[in-house]
Amino acid sequence: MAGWLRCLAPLLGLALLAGCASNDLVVVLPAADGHIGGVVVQHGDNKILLDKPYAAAGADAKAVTVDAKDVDQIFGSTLAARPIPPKSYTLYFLADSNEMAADSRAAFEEVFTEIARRKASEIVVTGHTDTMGTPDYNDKLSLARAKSVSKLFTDRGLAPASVIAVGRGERELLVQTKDQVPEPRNRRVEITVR
Amino acid sequence: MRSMTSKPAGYLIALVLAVAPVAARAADPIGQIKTETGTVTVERAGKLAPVAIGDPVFQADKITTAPGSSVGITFADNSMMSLGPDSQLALDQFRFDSTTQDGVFDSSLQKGTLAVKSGQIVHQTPEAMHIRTPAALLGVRGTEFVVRADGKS
Repeated sequence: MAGWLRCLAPLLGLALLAGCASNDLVVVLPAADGHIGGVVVQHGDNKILLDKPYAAAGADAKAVTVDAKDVDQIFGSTLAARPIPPKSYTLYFLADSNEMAADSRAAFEEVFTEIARRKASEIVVTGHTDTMGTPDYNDKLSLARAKSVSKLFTDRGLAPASVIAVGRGERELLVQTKDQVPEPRNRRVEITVR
Repeated sequence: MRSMTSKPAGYLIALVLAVAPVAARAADPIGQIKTETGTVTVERAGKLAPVAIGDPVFQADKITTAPGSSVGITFADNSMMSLGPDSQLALDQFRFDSTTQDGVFDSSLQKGTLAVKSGQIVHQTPEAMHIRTPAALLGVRGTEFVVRADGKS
């Protein structure tokens, strides 16, 4: 609110008033997957939802018109500094074993190629279960599986500090099933290189 | 420590964490520097230091790029930010539970330009990510966007 007060004090002189013409800008970019949840911009009582490609607003939360060329001109060097997006691989294991399915062994090797592309990387090893057993048990099971797969990476020379094990339990089913349904495609480990 | 950096400072922090496990949680890295051009500094606990690719970043860090410089960071929830030249960003609050993906991510762009791609925190809880500029408050529902703040309110 202090900013508003300053803007409402023209008695102090034109120079200050000119200082209130903010250059602020928010622009939503096109999404690779086409899905845009959007950004809500709020300034005082003004509020606007930007949820289309190149939807834009100024500091007063009023819509402004912006195109791709403007974005490139204003934000080109900022966009050029974006990190390489995280990349994920899914590994499957033979039932009740730490042995990977044949295609998963190839994916396992691809992880190392992806790491080599990056100047600095971490890998997140996320375990998922099917709906057999309790959610609490599956949290523990998925983390244990993630930790054992993490070891496959550290055994291949990755720094333990750069390998993060996560257990998601049965929260993120690849194939939706009812509770207590065995489903091999849900028993998986996702590797994200970032 | 999650970073692959081999910087001595990294080992020093790891050592401190090893002997002070109670403090470890609050001091967990929240992201890693992935790209950098020119001169980029971080203000942490009142001290100013240059940062390099591979360095971890922490909650409450304030990151500043010099004119002609830029930096890109990927965070623990896979969200990404990049800062353009002559910009300043404060990482005010970051909490993330990797099991449930619940969390909060609040930052302030004090001046300059910022590109943002939201991550798992927003995917789990829309608008759990906020960015403040001197003039406006942004609530993120899930998207890629850019922001410019000129430092005036």
